Amino acid sequence: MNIGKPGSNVKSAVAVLLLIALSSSPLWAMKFSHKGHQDESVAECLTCHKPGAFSIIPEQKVCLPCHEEEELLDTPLGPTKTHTPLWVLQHGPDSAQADAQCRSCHQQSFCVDCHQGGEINLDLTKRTIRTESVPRSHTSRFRVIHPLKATPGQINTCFKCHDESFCSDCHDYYRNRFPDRLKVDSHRKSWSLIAAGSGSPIHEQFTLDQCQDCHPDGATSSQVWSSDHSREARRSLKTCQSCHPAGDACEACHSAKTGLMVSPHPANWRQIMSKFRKESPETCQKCHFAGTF
Amino acid sequence: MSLPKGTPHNFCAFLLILLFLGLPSSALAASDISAVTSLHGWEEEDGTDNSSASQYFDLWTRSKLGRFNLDIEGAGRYTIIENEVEPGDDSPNRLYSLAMTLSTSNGNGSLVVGRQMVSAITDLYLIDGLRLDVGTGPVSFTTRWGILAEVDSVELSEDETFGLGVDFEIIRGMFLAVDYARTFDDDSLLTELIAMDWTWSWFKHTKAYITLDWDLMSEDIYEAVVGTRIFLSELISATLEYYQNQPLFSSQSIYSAFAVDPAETFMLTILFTPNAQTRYLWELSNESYETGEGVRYTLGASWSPGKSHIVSDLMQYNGDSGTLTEIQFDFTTSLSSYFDIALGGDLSNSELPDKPKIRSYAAYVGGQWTPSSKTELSLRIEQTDDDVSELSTLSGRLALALRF
Repeated sequence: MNIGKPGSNVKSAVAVLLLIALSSSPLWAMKFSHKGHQDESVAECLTCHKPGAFSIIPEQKVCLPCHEEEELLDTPLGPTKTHTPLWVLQHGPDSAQADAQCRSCHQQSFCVDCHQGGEINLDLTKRTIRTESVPRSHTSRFRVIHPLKATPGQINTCFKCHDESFCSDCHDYYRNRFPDRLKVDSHRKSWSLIAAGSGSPIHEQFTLDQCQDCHPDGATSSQVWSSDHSREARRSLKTCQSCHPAGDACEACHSAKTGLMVSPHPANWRQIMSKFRKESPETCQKCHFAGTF
Repeated sequence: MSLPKGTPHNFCAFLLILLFLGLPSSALAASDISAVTSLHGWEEEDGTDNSSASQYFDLWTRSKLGRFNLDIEGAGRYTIIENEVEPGDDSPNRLYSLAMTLSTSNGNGSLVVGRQMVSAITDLYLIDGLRLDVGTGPVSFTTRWGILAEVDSVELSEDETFGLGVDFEIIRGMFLAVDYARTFDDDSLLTELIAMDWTWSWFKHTKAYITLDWDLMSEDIYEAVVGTRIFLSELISATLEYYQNQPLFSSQSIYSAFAVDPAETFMLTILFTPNAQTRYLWELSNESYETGEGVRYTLGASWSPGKSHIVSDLMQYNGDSGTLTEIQFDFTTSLSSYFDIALGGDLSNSELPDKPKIRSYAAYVGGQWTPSSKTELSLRIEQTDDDVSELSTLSGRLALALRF
């Protein structure tokens, strides 16, 4: 079957898509404007955004007292792309836009209540920890339950407000008070204290240069510490970074210079490595000798 | 030629000062200024008392300059803590943001210049930025530039960001936004992302949406969301959503070269709103990774009988990292036109593998006096405790809010 030149197919597809889009696009339609309504003294948000409504987008019937029905058909109300269920994950770029209309419903303190410390609009149900007001997700004594709240699926959310070093600063402070509680699972196993073999000294007594003697090419026997720390790191690498910001702890086994020499790179590393090598060769040189990567 | 560190920050500050000085001579059309003074007191976990005083302000002004609007808005806070004992207490506890927006009256274009100082609990960041938006009809374009500096006593390190975006209304109710952003310093590209956001509302509030954030350095998805919200009837809506995420690292971090497993979440939410005063929520989400998973159930309800409002949630998480059950309850009511009270709290029960259960709770009571629409005085007292800490702690907040 002759399907023609690839380029002509692409052009045809683009033309068809444009035709479909333009045929129904209300290029001449009025755009809804909050500013325009405020100028006409409809300053109260609740005039249109009814309490208990299904959506923050008003139903068109609320416009009828002031507008003709035909007029409404030509006035799209626009999306609520910042108010999806995952709003907290997505609202950053939208709220940063100059024409973002957050202000129509929220005071700026609504933003800084989560983003470190606003105090205007402190309603009675809103709690503060020390001087900071905190979101509703931070219940009870949040430091007690945060290991289960900050799951890998949610971890990006944590770092939208907290700096990576926030974890380590707090853990360092409490380490002396609760020494057994503040270690992640893999760290409790203390691999360095495991015997290298039956009747052999513990790993702690070997140097990094000796790793290859027993583990050529990074081969390790199936062992709890190894698999646990790998699972934890692959799930939630940001938490590793919070306590080991420079990654020195990883280099002991994952450097190509010494130690176990286990490659930590992802499967597509060969495709993307040139970008990292070009932008930050000094990062590569932490684990590789110059000219070998 | 490269500019000395801090030059763009100084330029932005200078520009904003000029604007403020010029404001009185322009036509002031509207303004809104608020101030809150609050006192906090709490017990540390060792039983010692601590306190803080905080002053917060917020302002917004709009001036008409011919066919243009000039908006200036700012917010700021300064806090003093009596005894600085925990991480973050010794940070200057100051926060401010100041932004100027010059926009056309018809909404076709705007220019924003702003400065923001945020206390990120353990670090202090200073962000300066410029943003230009132009658009007409169904298309609008955005370009932005910013500098983020980590304020450090030893040196001022700066990263720059640059972004370009386009929003397009394809057909009525269907919107597509594409955005490109890169972060870099003097020597190298740190992150490079491209994001696509598509939304389609085709019948009343029924909609579908896709968000895709692509990390161009790692050639992998950073965050992705695919979902739809449908109305099963006038009273019941269901949202089905898929979410995937994985961490993003700067190219200068050794972690950017490490393999990671994405986390995937499937979520189903059902909202039942039998009337304007009552709403029920049921949510189920399943979070999974290469080597484990967790399931989260939430049951929630809100009622607004008369001048009262009641909100309650029950959440349970079961995963290979442990189990967590939480109950939250809030009750607010107006005793008169001038006086509101609230009480509520939460209970949690968490259990990590091979560890004993830990219970934790918080309970609060508060009152708010509003003698006029521009004045508000509130007092809130909270008690917290858990099975780990030796002592329960009491904390209080007294706040006076004034609006001018």
